[in-house]
Order: sequence, then structure tokens, then C-alpha cells
Amino acid sequence: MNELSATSAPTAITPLGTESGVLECDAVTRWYGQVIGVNSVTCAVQPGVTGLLGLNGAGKSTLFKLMAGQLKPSKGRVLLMGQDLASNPGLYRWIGFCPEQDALYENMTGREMLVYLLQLHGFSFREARTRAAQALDRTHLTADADRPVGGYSKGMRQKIKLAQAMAHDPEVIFLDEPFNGMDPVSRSESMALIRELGDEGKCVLVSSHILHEVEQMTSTILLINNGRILAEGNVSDIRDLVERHPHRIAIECDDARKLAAYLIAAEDVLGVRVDGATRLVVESNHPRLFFGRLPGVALDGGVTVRGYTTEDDNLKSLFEYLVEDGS
Amino acid sequence: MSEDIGPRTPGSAATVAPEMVPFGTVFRLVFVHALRDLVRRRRLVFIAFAGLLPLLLTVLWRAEGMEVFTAQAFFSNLVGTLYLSILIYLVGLAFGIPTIHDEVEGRTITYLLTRPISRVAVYSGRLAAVQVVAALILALSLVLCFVFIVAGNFGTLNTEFLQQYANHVWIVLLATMVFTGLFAVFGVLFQRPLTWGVAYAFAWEGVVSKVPGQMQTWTLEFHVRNVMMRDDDVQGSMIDFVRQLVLENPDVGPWTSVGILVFALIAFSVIGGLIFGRREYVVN
Repeated sequence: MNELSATSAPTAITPLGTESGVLECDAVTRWYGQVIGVNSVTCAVQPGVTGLLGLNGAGKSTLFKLMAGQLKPSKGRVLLMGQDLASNPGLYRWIGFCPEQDALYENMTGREMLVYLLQLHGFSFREARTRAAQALDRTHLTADADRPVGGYSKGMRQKIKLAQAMAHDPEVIFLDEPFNGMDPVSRSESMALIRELGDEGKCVLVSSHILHEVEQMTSTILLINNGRILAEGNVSDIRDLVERHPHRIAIECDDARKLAAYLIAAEDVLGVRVDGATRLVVESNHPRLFFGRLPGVALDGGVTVRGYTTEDDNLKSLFEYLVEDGS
Repeated sequence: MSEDIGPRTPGSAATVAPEMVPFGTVFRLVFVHALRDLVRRRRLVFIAFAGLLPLLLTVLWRAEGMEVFTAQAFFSNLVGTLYLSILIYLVGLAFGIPTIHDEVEGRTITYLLTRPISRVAVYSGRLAAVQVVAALILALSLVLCFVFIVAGNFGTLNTEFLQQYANHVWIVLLATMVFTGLFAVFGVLFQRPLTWGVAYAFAWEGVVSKVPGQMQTWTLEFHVRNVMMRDDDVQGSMIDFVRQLVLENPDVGPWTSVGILVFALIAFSVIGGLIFGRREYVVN
């Protein structure tokens, strides 16, 4: 199981009406003909990094586009700093948007592209050059800044998209699946940059379908499924909800039957299935307690545990459990 | 510009709404960007070759000893058959439809739609760029044709021919800009703009503009030909032939036709800008 490595930023989502946020969705609904994309979403996002999590087709991109003003809500409204985004394009001064799609101005160099887009934010050519240089530096692209982006690697393309989203120092930054195609080093650098932006007081919304990616940047998440907000708040709080369900833990050891005999007696273990001589699968309704006890039990039984994995520690299972809870 | 862009207190309503970047600034930036983009595209080469087609005919005419038509009549034929019937549509379709479509197909439209800028300014900047390029291609083609017609054949040069040439050139350029503007509207209006554009150009304009009676006045090509025909009295030219064909030519004054074309040019720009300003682009 991954260790939580979130920043200590305060919870970045508050229910609307208690404390308004930098970005607020007020009963936002979006229809595509007869199909509902986002269904009456109400939330308020505060400064810091917030992960928008959802499976493919859950409505993440639609909600993202609604929040960033790319789509107009069929019902409800999106407010940025208390103002209606739909009726005031000037509010885009406060927004940075990194799209999911792999689309760039292929014939321009990285620097040219940033300067052009910064000038469209109203910066003079000189100031745009300065800001572009800073953004390129922060995204580790300075060495390749004067090459056409058409020749960039996938990771570099993601970084230049990130650079254009933050170069004008916006208040709210939308990052739609920003790590797609990035190599581990670029991924780590970009995650660090996103954490920095959150620590600087920016309101950073990161969309992803990979839970552990988001966990490495923030503890504040917003889970969306079937166009509805399924859960919002701190990751551990949401995990606690899930812990009411039995977790399946696969253990690799040198004597599966012996370890099974020791484990079955514990109250937090609901069932054990021996899956070969060296592998067993345990169902526990208190995984944290179980993981705490496992080394002691193994030691008492004289069994060597080589490793373990939680079979349902993934976003899909999380959603399934939350949906079950909600029904 | 590094102005303070607004409030920093979360939850508080902004006291001053941030302003959009001035229209003129956006227009200039988008215009220059679109021009640079256009000169790097393969379609420019293709259309430039198409623009050389009249030149080929001119060379053939010269090779034949210039006996079939006089220089003046040959030039009128060239404009009437190639430029008005084919090239202005081809250039209009090739440059007008992608005015915004290039950004949508390239999925870079997202970058423009998330800036504090007027969409009308974006549309106007890109449209101006495509109109300038489209007009320049045909202008260059017309100049080259003229040079090939008169080179070593200076006896054909007279005031009447020069007047006719100037008249044809500005009308062709105006028509090119009008059709580019019209097809730019198609580009933001339809899902399959090329199909609609081709159908409009060759089924409506191409056919109806040559049908005798009042109906032809509903085509733009009629007004283009109407301006040319008034000042073009060359026997044996294609325009003369068209005039013979449409004996029941509606009595529309040349300046009325010019007014209609200028009005269409402005109207298409405004309509395209308004459609682009209101339309949602879902880029996936």
C-alpha cells in the first residue's frame, strides 16, 4: 500500500454555503442531449492542491471543462472569486488550463508558444519573454526551449502544456491528466512543481484516474462517478469509509497453511483462502489493524512473509465500495 | 503589462472585474500568428500551383501566336472562365473553411478559449490573415498573367486594356475576400463545411448565377460579373458571351453590385464572429 505523502495543506474542499471557495460550483448540471454529463454538482475549492478523481467516463473532463468555463452549465453556475465565469471572459486572467489532449502549436518552438500565449494574456513582448523563461526553467525545459515542439518527447509535451498553464501566474490552475506519458523522472519533477504551486497558495485542480498519483501531491480529493460527486475531502477519511468493507490481502510466505492457521483466529480476519503452498488471501475488515499484527503473528508462527499486496486497493474498488455505501 | 489582476482573498467576491485584453492587441497577435502558420502549410503550395494555371493558358495562347483572341479578349476570358468560375471558389474554400477549423482540428483551440480575450477578435484576426493570403495568391497570379500577356507584345497595351485589367483585378480580389469570408462562416457553422462549401459554390453559385431572370441576383457571382460586364465591352470575350446568354439580365447597377459585395464581406465577418463567439467547442 502506498504511503500517503500529501502536503500539510488544509482541506481544500468545503461544502457550499459554509465557507465559499476560490472556485465554486453551485448545483452545476450539464446535459449532452439526453445524456447527463454532470449532475447537480455543488462544491467549493480552496487554495492548495485538489485531486479530481474518477474512472474513465465518470464526468471528470466535463466537470473540469465546466469549472474552466469551456462548457456552459445546462443548470447552475460556476463562480470564480465570486463572479460568474460564463458572463465574464476577463476572469480567464486568473485561470491556467492544461488540457488533456496532446495538442500543441507544432511549428513553434517551446519559447515562441509560451510567449504567444502570454501575450494573449495581455503581457508585453518583453514581459512575456521573461515569464516564458521562468516557466521553462520551472518545468526543466530551458535546454529545449528553442526547438520546435513538434520534435518534443511525450513528457516534454506534457511539461510545455504545464508551463503555459502557470506562466501567467493564475489563481486557479486546471491540470487535466497532466502525467500521461511522462517518464518517472518527469513525473516526479512535475509532481514536485504542482505541490510547490499549491504551497504558494494557488488553487490547483488535478484530474486523474490514478489514485496513488494524486495521493503523492495532496490529501484532498474529490471523487466523481456517473457525473455526481461521490465523496470529497481528505483521502484518509474516504479510505476509512472503505475500511468498512472487507479488504483482500494476498500474502506471499514460505508456509501458507501454517500462517493461515495462525491468522484465522484473529477477530479482524473474516476469511482465509490458501492459494498454493506459498500464497494465501486474507479477508479483513480492519486492514490497518491487520497490517499492524501481521509481523508479530508471522514471528510467533515461525513463518517468513516475503511480501503482501492489497488486491482491491485501487480506484475502481474504492468507487465500487462507495457506490455500494450510497445505494 | 503587469497590472494587478485582482483579489487574493478566497471567498470574497472580486470588487473589480478583470478586463479582457484589448481587441486590437488580440487581433494583431492572432493575425501575425495565423500568417506564420499559413505560410508553413502544404495547402498554400497546392493553391499556389492552382494559381499558376492561368499562367499556363497564357503561355499556350502566346505559343499559338495570339491569333484566336486579342490580348484584351484573352484576359477577359481568362478572368471569366478560370478566376470567376473556379479559382475564387477554390481559394475561398481552401483558406476560408480552415479559418477556425485548423485550430479545432489541431485541438489548439483550447489555448485560445481559456485566455481573457474576445473570441470575435480571434476570429477577425484569423479571417483577416486568410483573406490577405488568399487575395495575395490571386493578385500574384493576375500580375504574372498580365506580364506574360504584354511581354514583348507592347502593342496590346492601351488605356482601355489597362482600365479593364485594373477593374478585373480589384473585383477578383474583392470577390476572393467575400467568398473566403463566406466559407469561413461555413467553417464555424457546419460539421462538414467542405461538403456544404463545394455544394454551395458549384451547385448554387455556379449554376444559378447563369440562369436568366431575377433569380441570378441571389448569387454573389452575378454581382461580380455584373460589375465586370458593365465596363467590359470586348467582343468575343467570355463575359460578352455570358451577357448574350442572359439577355434578360436584371437591371442592377454596378455600384449596387459593389455595395452588395462589400455588405456581404462585412456581414460574413460579423456573422462568423458571432457564431464563433457563441459556439461551444468540445475538444476530446
